[in-house]
Amino acid sequence: MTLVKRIIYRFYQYEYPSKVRRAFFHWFLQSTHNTEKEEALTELWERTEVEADVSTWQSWTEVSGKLGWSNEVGKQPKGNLWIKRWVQIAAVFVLPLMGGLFTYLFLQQPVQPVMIAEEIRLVECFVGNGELRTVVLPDSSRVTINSGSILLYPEKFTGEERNIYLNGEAYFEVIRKEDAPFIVKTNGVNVEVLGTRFNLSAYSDQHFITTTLEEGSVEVHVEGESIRIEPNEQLSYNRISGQITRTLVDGDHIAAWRQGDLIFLRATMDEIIRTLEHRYNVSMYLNSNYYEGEIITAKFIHGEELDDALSVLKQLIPGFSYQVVESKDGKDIKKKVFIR
Amino acid sequence: MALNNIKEILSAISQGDRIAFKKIFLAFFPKVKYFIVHMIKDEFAAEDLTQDIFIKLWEGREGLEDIRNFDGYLYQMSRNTVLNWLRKEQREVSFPEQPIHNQPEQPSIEEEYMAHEIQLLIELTVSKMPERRKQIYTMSRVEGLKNEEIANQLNITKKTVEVQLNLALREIRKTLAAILFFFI
Repeated sequence: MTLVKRIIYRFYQYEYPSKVRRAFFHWFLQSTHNTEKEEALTELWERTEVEADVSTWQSWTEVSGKLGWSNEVGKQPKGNLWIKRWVQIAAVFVLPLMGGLFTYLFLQQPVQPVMIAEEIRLVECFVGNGELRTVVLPDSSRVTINSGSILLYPEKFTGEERNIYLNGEAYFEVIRKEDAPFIVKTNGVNVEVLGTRFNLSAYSDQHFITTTLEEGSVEVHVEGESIRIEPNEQLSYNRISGQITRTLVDGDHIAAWRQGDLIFLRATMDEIIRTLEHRYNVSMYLNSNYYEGEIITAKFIHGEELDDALSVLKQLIPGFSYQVVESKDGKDIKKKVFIR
Repeated sequence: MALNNIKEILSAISQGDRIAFKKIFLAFFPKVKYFIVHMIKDEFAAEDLTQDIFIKLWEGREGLEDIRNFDGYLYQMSRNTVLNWLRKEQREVSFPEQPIHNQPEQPSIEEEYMAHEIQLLIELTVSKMPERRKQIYTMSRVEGLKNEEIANQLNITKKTVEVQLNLALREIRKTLAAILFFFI
């Protein structure tokens, strides 16, 4: 491989600090070695194979909104307010984007480069911040979905796999089917099971994707590896660093959020803030890296309100101070928490 | 990544078929976005740029019927999007016109020709090294400090400095191996 190609390939592959990025861009835009640069780009394009995931569906929702298609279903009231409330009441619904035609492309068979596209209705379940919801899937498996999550699943399972998509956190009780593995796909990790109970947390605004097994066995597919974990074991994948860690957890703590409990074991400030945001439906702002490296263990198991949780954190963490500001957004009162 | 009946889908889109457009969207959006993200390294900008590409596709749907190689067509759109974005960024962020590393020796003509590229590749390699190794390498090769000075400043043994420097240089040699071949 030539030097020019090697540079471009290497740049494409990894993340770099802004200084290095600028040096690369500067060089890349110079009109030298143009043929080789073009070739490198074409080759990278041809080697790129990515399948749709939850984020693609979110992009689709946005694009069809921009094209003005979301308001087309006849009986549907107009305006954002309606959509907002809809999300807030955490209703299970079928995306009404296509003029009432509920036919959706559902992508199956991740291994094959050619996508097998089948017309199957895809059910999209939004659970707003501050809400919890349980749904029963077409195979009678039960999923309890935590605040601020989206779950996508086909209206019926066909084919050799039961594929569903998650952005957020959910607790799964999967009905055993030897001939059809149940696969939860997230942005970074796929979890494959036959029949079992487990918790999966994969919020797109958090660095960690954690799989915690309660009963049975699951296989976690991450970074090209397949890792089998045992009951009461937790596998954490750091999306940013690629680091994978396995720890044992207390069985009672698994998916304790279903009872409204919040349990943080050796958590970072960032994880805690994101979790509180989802749980209490507030926006939290942290403008310092003072807490970087801080590891916090805290349990909120008595139905604490936001103020209680914050004052406990204040006692736990030296120097922690915060301010809650309420602002009106239409009829809603929106809380913002500023942390110093 | 291809839908096997792409020709029909494109022709349906050019007739205004939104479901056909959605199929194309779900099949190609991830690829376009992946390509753009990896080139520009900005997730949010890449999402917007990719959405714009698909909005443009829909707005120009009448012409889609005539496209023979849709994947190649998308590539051209993605490539142009990346280049335009980078050019715009360059205008906004004034780029300091200085080499990343000082080049002490007088280079030969071939070396000079590729000097910038070699520097860039070294910089890409160094910036992916573990923090300590990167620091030691930079102090030694960029700031020109002696091993002993580095050891004192970082409060580590001279031996550790040597080991880390060796590892760094070996890594760089490995990356450059294929290229240096041309100069020998």
